[in-house]
Amino acid sequence: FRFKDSLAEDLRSADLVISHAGAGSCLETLEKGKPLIVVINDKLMNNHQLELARQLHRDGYVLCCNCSTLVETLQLMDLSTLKPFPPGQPEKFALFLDKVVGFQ
Amino acid sequence: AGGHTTEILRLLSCLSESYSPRHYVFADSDKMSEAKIRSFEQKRAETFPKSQFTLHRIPRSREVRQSWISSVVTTLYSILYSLPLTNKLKPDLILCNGPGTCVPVCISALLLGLLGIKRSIIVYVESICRVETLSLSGKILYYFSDYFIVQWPHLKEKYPKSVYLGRIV
Repeated sequence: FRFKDSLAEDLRSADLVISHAGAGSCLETLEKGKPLIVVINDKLMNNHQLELARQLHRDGYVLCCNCSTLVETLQLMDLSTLKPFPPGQPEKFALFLDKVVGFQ
Repeated sequence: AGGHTTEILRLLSCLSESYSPRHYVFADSDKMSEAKIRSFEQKRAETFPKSQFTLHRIPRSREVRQSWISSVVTTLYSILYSLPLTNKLKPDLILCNGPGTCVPVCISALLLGLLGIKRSIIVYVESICRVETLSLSGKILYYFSDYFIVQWPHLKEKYPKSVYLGRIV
């Protein structure tokens, strides 16, 4: 498909997600608690997109590979090693902002 | 645009109704943000029926990988365009999170502040995608914002004047 308004339905029914390193895709998948393999595009080496994928991988939330190692990764993967992804906390931002503007 | 809009709406999700009216400013080339914003505000109106918001489109300051020289010209044009808008809205608080669109708005606000017309508090939240480096908007607004928030500890070390609250989206 080209562009769907939301991948939420597809994500809900998936057992495994293989995605590019786009932040939206990664975060949406992790928040739904689905195991994620991030495929890094070697041709976009200096793309800042990689920063998040790298960090998520370092922290143990996702598996990473590139196009040529995808098959191998799928064959050897152990999804139980992936850690659950804790949600972000916008309430902390609200508290901070309240202090900044003087609503207490 | 896209990811930025999703992030900023998350940032807004826990704000009290004192943060009203909300004026959303985004690029004229952005086709998807309006729908996301309306959906967010519609949901919000279920809890806070008196919710008020407006939408404004401004010319996009810079395309991805646009050259430096032409970026300066298009950004100047965007600033000239946003100055009357910022002057009309006279926001108490400007919240932005990184698209090039926010730079002209913040610069307009800074100018209005310098001219003694309106002093807005500028709060910049760098995108969650930025773990090791700042975006171009971030690099500029690090010096011009009142509060600069980063979401990863590495950036807090690199940019000591920033605020680190952990992941907030």
